[in-house]
Amino acid sequence: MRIQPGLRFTRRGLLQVGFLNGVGLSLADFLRMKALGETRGERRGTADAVIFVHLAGGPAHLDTLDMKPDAPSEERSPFAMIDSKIAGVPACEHLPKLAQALDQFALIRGISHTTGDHLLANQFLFSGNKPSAAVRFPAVGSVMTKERPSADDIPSFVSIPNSDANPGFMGVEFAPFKTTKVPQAGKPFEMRGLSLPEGMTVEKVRRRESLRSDLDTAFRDVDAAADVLDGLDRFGKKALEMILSPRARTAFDVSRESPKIAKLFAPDELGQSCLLAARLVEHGVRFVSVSHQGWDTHLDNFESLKNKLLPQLDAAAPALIEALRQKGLLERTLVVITGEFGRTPKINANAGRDHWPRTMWTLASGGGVKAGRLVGGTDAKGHGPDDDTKLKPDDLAATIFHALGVDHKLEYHTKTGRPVILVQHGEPIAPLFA
Amino acid sequence: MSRLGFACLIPTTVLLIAAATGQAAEQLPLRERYAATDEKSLNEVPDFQRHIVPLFGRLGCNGRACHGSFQGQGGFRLSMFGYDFASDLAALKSKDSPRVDVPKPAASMILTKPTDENDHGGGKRFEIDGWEYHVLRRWIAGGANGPAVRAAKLTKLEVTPTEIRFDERLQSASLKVIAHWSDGASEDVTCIARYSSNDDGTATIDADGRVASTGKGSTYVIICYDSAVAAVPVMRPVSDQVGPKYPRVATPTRVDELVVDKLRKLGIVPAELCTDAEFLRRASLDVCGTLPSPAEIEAFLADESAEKRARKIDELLERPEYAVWWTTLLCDLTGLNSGAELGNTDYAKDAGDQWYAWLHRRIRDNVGYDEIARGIVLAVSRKPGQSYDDYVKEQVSYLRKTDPADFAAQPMMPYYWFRGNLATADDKALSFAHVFMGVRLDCAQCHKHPFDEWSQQDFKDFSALFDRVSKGVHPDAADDRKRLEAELGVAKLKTAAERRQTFRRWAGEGKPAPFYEVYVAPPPKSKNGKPAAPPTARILGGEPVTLAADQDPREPLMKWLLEKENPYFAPSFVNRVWAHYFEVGIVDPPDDFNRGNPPSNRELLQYLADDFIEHGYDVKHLHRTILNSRTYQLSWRPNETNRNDDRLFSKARMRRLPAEAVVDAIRQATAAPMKTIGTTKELMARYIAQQPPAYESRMEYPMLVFGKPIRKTNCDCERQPDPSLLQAVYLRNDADIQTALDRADGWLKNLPKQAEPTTLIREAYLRVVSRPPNEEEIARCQRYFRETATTAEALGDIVWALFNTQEFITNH
Repeated sequence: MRIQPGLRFTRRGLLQVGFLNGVGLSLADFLRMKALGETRGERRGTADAVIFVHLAGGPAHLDTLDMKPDAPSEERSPFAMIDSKIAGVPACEHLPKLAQALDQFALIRGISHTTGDHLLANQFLFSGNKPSAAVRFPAVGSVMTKERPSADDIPSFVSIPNSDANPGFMGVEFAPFKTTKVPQAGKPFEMRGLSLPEGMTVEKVRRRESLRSDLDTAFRDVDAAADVLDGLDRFGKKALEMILSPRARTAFDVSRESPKIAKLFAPDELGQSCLLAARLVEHGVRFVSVSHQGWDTHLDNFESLKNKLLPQLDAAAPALIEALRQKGLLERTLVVITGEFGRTPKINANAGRDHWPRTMWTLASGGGVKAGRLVGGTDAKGHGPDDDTKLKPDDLAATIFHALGVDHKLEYHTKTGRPVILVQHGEPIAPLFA
Repeated sequence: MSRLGFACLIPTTVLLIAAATGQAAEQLPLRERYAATDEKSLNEVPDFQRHIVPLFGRLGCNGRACHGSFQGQGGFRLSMFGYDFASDLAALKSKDSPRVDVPKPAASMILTKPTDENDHGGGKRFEIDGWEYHVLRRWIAGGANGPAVRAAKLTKLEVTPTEIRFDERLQSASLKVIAHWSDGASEDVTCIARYSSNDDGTATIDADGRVASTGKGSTYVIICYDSAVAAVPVMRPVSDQVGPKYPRVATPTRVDELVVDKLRKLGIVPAELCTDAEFLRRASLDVCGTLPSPAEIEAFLADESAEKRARKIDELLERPEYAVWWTTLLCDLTGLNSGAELGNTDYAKDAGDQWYAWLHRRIRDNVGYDEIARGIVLAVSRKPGQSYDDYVKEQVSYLRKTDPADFAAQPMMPYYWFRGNLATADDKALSFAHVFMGVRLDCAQCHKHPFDEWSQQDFKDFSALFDRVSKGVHPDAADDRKRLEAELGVAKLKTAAERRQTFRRWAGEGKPAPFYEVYVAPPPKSKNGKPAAPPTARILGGEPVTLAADQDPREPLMKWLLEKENPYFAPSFVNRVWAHYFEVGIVDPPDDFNRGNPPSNRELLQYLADDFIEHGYDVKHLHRTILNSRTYQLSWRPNETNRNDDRLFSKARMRRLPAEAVVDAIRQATAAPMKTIGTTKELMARYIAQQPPAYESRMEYPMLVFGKPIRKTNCDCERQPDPSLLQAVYLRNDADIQTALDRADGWLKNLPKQAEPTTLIREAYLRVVSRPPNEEEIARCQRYFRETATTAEALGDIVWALFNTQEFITNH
C-alpha cells in the first residue's frame, strides 16, 4: 500500500487538493450507516436543499422553547408558558403561532458545546467542527457547492444577508454569495453582482462583453500554460451566464413572488429573508443561510424578545414551512432554525442573559425529518443537557449531510495535504429520521 | 557543511549522509537473511525498533487508514508511522487481546491476520513463509521484546545514489539505504524503509526502493527509516538541450547562475526578458502593491539608459507605498487581527494600530529583520525594573490625545503574545514555528510528522519553552493593579464594553487606566513550598535547555534562531520573500519546511539566506538581490522547454493580483487624475494598508471575495490567490465598478472638453493595463467610440472592458 505523502504536486505544480474518499469502509462505518439505512449504493437522504436560519447571537433557551417554570426566581423567565401542538412541550406565550405549528417541526433540546465566543461558535455551527488555529473547516454549504453544485446559471450557496459561514481550507471558489442586504416586502430586490444596475440592460451587457472579448487578447495567441488563466476563463464564462440568466435575477427578486405565498410572510427582516430563501431553493440554490441579528441579549433580554425578536420568529418559522409546502418543496428541503448557543440561566444586572454554550435548542423540519417530536432534553433547571442527551453541533452538521445524502465521514485534503474528515466527531441525529 | 543539506537539518540527533561511500561490512538486508525457511539457523533475533516497527511501516500496518488511526482498527492500535515503541509494544502484548503468542508464535495474530489465515480487514499483506513472516515469527519466538532501555541510536542514514538522472534510455534505478547505529552496527534497510514520491507524474517508487521514471521533469523521492528522513532528487530532462547542446544563457547575477545551473540539468531554457512596461507594472505591484501612473509609464518607456530598471527598483523601495504594503504583509505573517485577537488587551484597536506602526517604522527605516524578530520574540510589556504604576503611565502616554508619545520608538512589541489564539503553550509553539521558522508542527502535536522527523515528544519539549510566557498581570503587580482599580472605581463599570470604553477615555485624557501586560511568569513552586527542579525544554532538534527561574526561556530560542547555521530563521524569511515575487517558494508551500519537502533549488535558497545574513538581515538588500536578477525580470511567454515548469523559475508566473491591489487599482485607474504615489497618511486610506476586521462577516465584500487573509490561522495559505466565480461576477457586474466609473470626482466625469478619442484610448490603456495600446486595439476602440452616443459612455465601457481582461487581473 502506498502512503499518501503530506504534499504532492502534479506535473504542472498545481497543488493537488485531493477530494479523495480514499479510505475503505470499516465495519463500524458499515454498521453505523446500516443503522441509518444508508449503506453505500443506496440512495441516502431525501433532501436536496437546505435553509439554515441562524438566530445570530444565541436565543435565550429558557425564555423560548425550553422554559423551566420551577426555576429559582433569579433564573426563571417572566414569560408565561402556553401549550404547543407537540404534547408536553410548552412554548413561550410570545410564540403563539409557532406553538400552533410546532408539530411541523422536530424540536431538538440539549445540543451542547463549550465555545462561548460568537465567531468561533458560529464557525463550529456552520462547519460541524470545533474551530482550530491549524485548520479552517469549511461550512456545510461550501462542501455542498463542491459535492452537489447547482446549475451553471444559479449560485450553489447563498447567505442572506451575510454570515460567518466560510469555505475554510476549500478556498474562495466555494465561498457563499452574500446578498449583503435583506429584501423589503414587495420591492424589487437587487442581488449584488447579479442584478443589472440602474440603466444597465442585457443588450448593453452583451455589447460591453463583445468589446471585452475583442480586447482581451494579450494572452490569447500564446499558450501561456498558466492555471490561473484557465480559472479566469472558466469563471468569466459562468459569471456572464449568471448575469444574463433571467432565472438568477428572477430567483432573487422577491417582488415577483405570487401574492398567495408573499402574504404568508410578515414584512420584517426575518420574514422577507425567509421568503427569499424559499424562492432561491425553488430556483435551484442548494444551500441558503439566513442570519437574523439581535439575539445577543446581554441587555434587556425580555423586552427585546417580547417586542422584536419573538414576534419575527413566531411569524417567520411557520410561514417558511407553509410556503415550502405550497411550493411542493418541503419534502426535499431541510429547514434548520438555531442559534450558536443558549443563554445563561442567571439573569444579569442588566436584565439580560449572557452566553451559555452548555445547552441550546434547534428546530428542524422537512427534508425527511419526522416532524412533531421532541429529541434530546435538558436537566430540570435547563442548565445543561439531561443525562441521556449527548448532542453537539458536530451532530447537527452530520445530520444535515445525512439529509442531503452526503457521507459526513468523507475525507478531504487541505492545501497542505492534511486529511480532514468532513465531520470528525459527529453522527447524524438518528431519532430525527427514524 | 551545507546549512540546508540533509546533514544539518537535525544537527544533533541523526546524521544523514547521502554519499556514495561504498562502506562494506554492513549486514545483509532482512529480506535475504530471512529468505530461507530455516530461520533458526540464524543466530539472531530481530530488533523491535530496527526491524519490527519499520516492517510494520512497509506493510502499511501503522498507516493512518489502518491500525495507525487514532481509533485503531479492529481493536488494535499502533502509533502512526511508528514512533512510540512503548505503546506499540503494549498494544501487541495487551492482556485482553494479545497480538503475539510467545509460546506458540505461529498462532500470533500478527501472523495469522496479515496472511489472511484469520479474516483480516486489511487483506493479505504477506505470504506464509515469506521473509516478512519469518522476521515476525522469529521476533516473537525470541520473546517479543521491545528496545533495550539504552538502545543504540540511529546516527546516519546513507542513501545511494544521491541523485537520479533519467534520460530516454535509463528509466529506472534502485536505491540502497544503509542505517548506521551508535553501537557501530550498520545494516542494509532498503527493504524496510518507507518511500514516497513527491510527484508521481515524474517518478514513482515502490516498497523496495525501485524508482521508475514516469515523465519528464524534476522531483524528489522521500525515504523514511526510524527517525530519519532523506530526499533524493530525481530528474529527467524535458528537452534534448542538455550538456553541450544547452544554449548560452545570460546569467548576470549569482541568483541567475544558480537558477540556470538547475535548469541546465533538465534541458529547460529560461524565457526571454520581459518588456519594460511589463517590468514596471510587475515591480510596482510587487514592491508597492500599486499600479504605475500613466506619466510614470511614459517616462520609463522613454528612458533609454541601460540601468533604468535598477534605478526604478531603488526608487520603488524608497516609496511610502513600499513601507505600507510590506508592513501589511508582515502583519499577515505575524497574525495582527486587532478585532478578535487583541480583545484581551482591553485596547484592541489601539494595540493593533501600535503593532502596525511599530512594524511600519522598522520596514520604512529598513531595520534588520533580526532586530525586528528580536523585538517581537523577546517582548515583555514592562521594561526592566519598571513598576506597574510607571508602566501604566507609559501606556497612557501613547494613547493620550494631546502630544502622544511614540510607541514605535520603543524596542519591544509585545502584542504578538497577546493574540487570542496564542492562549496555551502549544498554541504559542505552533504559531512561533510557523512565523519564525516556516515549520508546521501541527502534525507533531498529535503524532509523528509523517514526512518529517518531529515526534510528539519533540513537540512537547519545544512547547515547554513557552510555558511561562503569559499575559495578564504579573503576580508581583497584582496588588498594584487592585489598588489602581479601587482608586478608579472600576467595580462600578458593569460590562466589559463599558470598562473598555471608560479605560480608553481615561487614557485619552492622560489619566491612569488599567493595562494588562505580557510577562514571563516565575516557575511554579513544588507542593512542599521549595522551588521545583528547573524544568527542561528542548529547541527543535537541539540540546535540552535548563530553564533557570530568572531566565526568559525565549532567550536561548532567539539565540538559536540567529545562529549562522540555523536552518529555519533566515531561510524561511528569504523563501517567503521569494515566494511573494514568484508565487511559489523555493520551498513550497513557503511555510512547510520539512525534510519531505526539500527546496526545488537547494543552492539558490542557501545563497539567498547566506547573503541575507552577511548583509545583516537587510531586507531591502534582499529585495534588490531578487528584483535585479534576470530571473525576476523574465517574460511569462513560455518556450518549447519551459512550458510546464512552475517550480524552477524559468519564466514569470501569471498571478492574480492580491485583494488589496485589485480594489486600489480600480479606484486609482478611475480617479482624476490617476495618483498612485501618496504620503503615508494618504496611503492609510488605501486597501494595501488596511487591517482585516474581527469577523469574516464584517470583511468588506471585495476583500472577502478576493481572499484577503483574516489572520487567524497558522498558514500562509490564508491569502488566497485563486480566481473564483464571485470575483468574475464582481468585476463584471458589481455596483462598485459602475460607481467607481461614474463618481463625480472620477476621470470620466472630468474629461477635458476637446479630448481626442485616440488620446483617451491611450490613457485608458496606461491607467488599467499599464501599457500603450497597439494599433489593432486603437482601431477597435475607435470603432466603439463611433458606435456609442457619448465620449464618456464609450470610454467608460472601454475601461470596464479593460478591467475585465485577464491582463488587468493578473500580474504577468
